[in-house]
Amino acid sequence: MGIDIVLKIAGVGFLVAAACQVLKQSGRDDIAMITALAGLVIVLTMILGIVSTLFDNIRNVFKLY
Amino acid sequence: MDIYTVIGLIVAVGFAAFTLRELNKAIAVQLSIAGGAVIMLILLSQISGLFDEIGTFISQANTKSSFMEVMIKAVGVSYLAQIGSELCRDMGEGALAVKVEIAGKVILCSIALPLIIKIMNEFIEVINAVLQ
Repeated sequence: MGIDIVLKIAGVGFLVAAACQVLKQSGRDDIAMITALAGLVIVLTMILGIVSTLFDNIRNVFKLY
Repeated sequence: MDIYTVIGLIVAVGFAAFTLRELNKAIAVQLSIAGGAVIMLILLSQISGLFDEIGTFISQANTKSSFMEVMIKAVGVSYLAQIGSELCRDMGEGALAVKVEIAGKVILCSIALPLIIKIMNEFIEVINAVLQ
């Protein structure tokens, strides 16, 4: 678990932004919105795991049960 | 893990989030959440070592370890409340952030209340013994 997940998220963000721009320029606004939504969901699934490990670790370290 | 690594990581995450903010605001927020989580995960291993040291130090002083546990729990709850409220504030939800902070304070009070009651009982006993 390191910096690579942050770089992955940044890459997904840039890719989704570029795809959205291209789709908007070609007049397919609805598909652009769906692309943005899909990017959001993909990134959300990526960060869900890391946030849950963070909370588990905090719970273990600070003895919160 | 030294301070330069943490600063470099944070600056890299901040730069990426800043660049992404104009292109895709939602993913920029998620990026900052992930960066914060990575940095906190790195720091937590050091924090647990620190608490172990403090625990052995306190156990040498013949005090109850439950007091130490209450303190550690309070620190953990305040950390979690701060993380949650900052996440809300990053997403532009100031009102929700304040609610998370209030919840943290209430839970902190309920954690610390038994200790406070214990101390107050000691005080009352001392005062009664003096007055009689």
